[in-house]
Amino acid sequence: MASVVLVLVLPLVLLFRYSFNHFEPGQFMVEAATPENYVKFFADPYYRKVMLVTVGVAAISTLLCLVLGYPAAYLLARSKWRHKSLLVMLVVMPLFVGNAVRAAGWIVVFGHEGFLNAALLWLGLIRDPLDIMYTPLAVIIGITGFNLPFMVLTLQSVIEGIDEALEEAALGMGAGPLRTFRRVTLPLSLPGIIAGTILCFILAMNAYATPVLLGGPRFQMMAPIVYDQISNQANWPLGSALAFILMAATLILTGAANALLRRRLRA
Amino acid sequence: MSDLRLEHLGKSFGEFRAVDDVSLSVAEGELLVLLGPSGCGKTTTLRMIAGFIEATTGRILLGGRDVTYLPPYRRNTGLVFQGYALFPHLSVFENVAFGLEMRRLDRTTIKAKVADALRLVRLEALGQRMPRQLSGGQQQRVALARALVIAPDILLLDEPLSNLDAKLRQEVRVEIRELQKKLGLTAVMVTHDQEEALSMADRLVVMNEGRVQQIGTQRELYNHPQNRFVANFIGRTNFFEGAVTAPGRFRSAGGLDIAFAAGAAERRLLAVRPEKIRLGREASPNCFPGVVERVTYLGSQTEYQVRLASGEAVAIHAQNAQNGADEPLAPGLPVHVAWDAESCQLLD
Repeated sequence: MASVVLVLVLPLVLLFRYSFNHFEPGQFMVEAATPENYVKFFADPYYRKVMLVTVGVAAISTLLCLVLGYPAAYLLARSKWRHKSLLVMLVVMPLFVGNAVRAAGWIVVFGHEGFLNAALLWLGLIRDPLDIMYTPLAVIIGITGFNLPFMVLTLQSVIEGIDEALEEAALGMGAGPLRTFRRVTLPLSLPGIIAGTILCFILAMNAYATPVLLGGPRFQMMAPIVYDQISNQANWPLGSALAFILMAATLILTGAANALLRRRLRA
Repeated sequence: MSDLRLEHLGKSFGEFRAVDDVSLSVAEGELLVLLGPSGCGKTTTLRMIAGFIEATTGRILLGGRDVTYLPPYRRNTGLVFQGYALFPHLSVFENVAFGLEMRRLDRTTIKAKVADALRLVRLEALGQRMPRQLSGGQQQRVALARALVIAPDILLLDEPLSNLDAKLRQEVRVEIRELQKKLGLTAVMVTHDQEEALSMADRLVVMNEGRVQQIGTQRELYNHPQNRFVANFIGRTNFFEGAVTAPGRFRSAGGLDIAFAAGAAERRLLAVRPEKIRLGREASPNCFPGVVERVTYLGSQTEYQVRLASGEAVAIHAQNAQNGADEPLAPGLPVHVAWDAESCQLLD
């Protein structure tokens, strides 16, 4: 237990302490108790914009995961197919491959000479290749693809726990499929929706490899700039502060979304 | 309320015929019980009536209207499920109000109807509770109120008592039956519990392997079973294989010459209920020697198994004396058993 606490908490404590230190170019890190790194984040429009982009990408990709993942999870949960475990395996499969490798896969798909452009050109749907690589769209698609299995698996386990007789009871009482979904299935899947959303949002907020590989050098999200500050600029205090701001933003937004979802769907 | 008719209803899953050519009718205000072992097709039949399973062949007529291909939400049925299927996220009131809201009734009407329905099942004080806060019996009554409140054309009960303990089951049984009679509900109930079926039904349908074995009242099924399955499923009975040798005479495989009162000559099976057999030597045409093999005390009755001289064994239910003072016969004792020609049932 103690070792678990040590491993989980110690780096955070150190990071938190560093975030109040002073950065002196050439001198690495000077012991201090200054809020200047936090002030810098809020004062500099550059960092505020990166945060905004990060939150935007995370929110959009999480929403996409939910919208795409729910029907898949539902079908999976209700499937009475003998080889259902095969389908589940199919969903889990991408998790066996790290996200850097998968991002590389997306590069092959999205590139100027990539699979997607080749296919669209061949079908005659476009005349000039699309520029998807190194755009926010590529990053959103990449993160959505990466997070989708987590969403599907979380939702599937919750939906499987909803007794089918409840849906039948609603249908029997005159509720059509849509109203049965709205009044019975959806509210009862809420725990899964909340858990899946939180999971995907946290993963997206902290995404590193996908924005770096698919977003290119001009597209910035929080995790890459934290790394950049610490590794390339050697500015540990600012990097630590940014890391803490990222963590705080993630926590606050997840909490808020959680509360909002609960209220919305209870009504 | 409406009457229900099933015409040559069938359901196949691939090669497997879950329900095979089932025809029956339920009169307005009648409670019909579908009875049979698990896998006999009774639940599939009920689910076809409800609309959850589409029939492969045949028709379902509810109040003269062909509902065979209507989705469940257009059929106006009241359903009570085995596990009650109360919505766990809604209060008792909201559960009962659900069907009325789907019918887009106004708030005041809904309130009044829900209150009436809850009063009917004596739960008027518990409207604001959540289902998990109720006992099994109370949940069962909420499920009933929820099914009744929408004034269904037919009430469908799927093993409604199987989740209750034995004592409560008795109570709820009576309650459902009285409510059904009072409101004049047409109802179809599925059960595998013989006692439940016998105590609640107006008429019963005995099913096996997807087919109707016999339809009739409790008395008809018990006293005039049409085949071995029904005779064996409703109550207990003794079977003798053999053939009719002369009018009114049946020769068993073991060589017993049994006199019977009525039955067709081509029948190959003769059945006698255990309580119709007496112990003791008498002048009856059916009186055979044997030896007591096993004695089982059942409270009001004692069951004897007697091995006849022919090698066939019979079970006998003898009423115990009122003062409980009678000595049971001991195993190994030679005895005579006897029964009337009128007690014989000839079966297919």
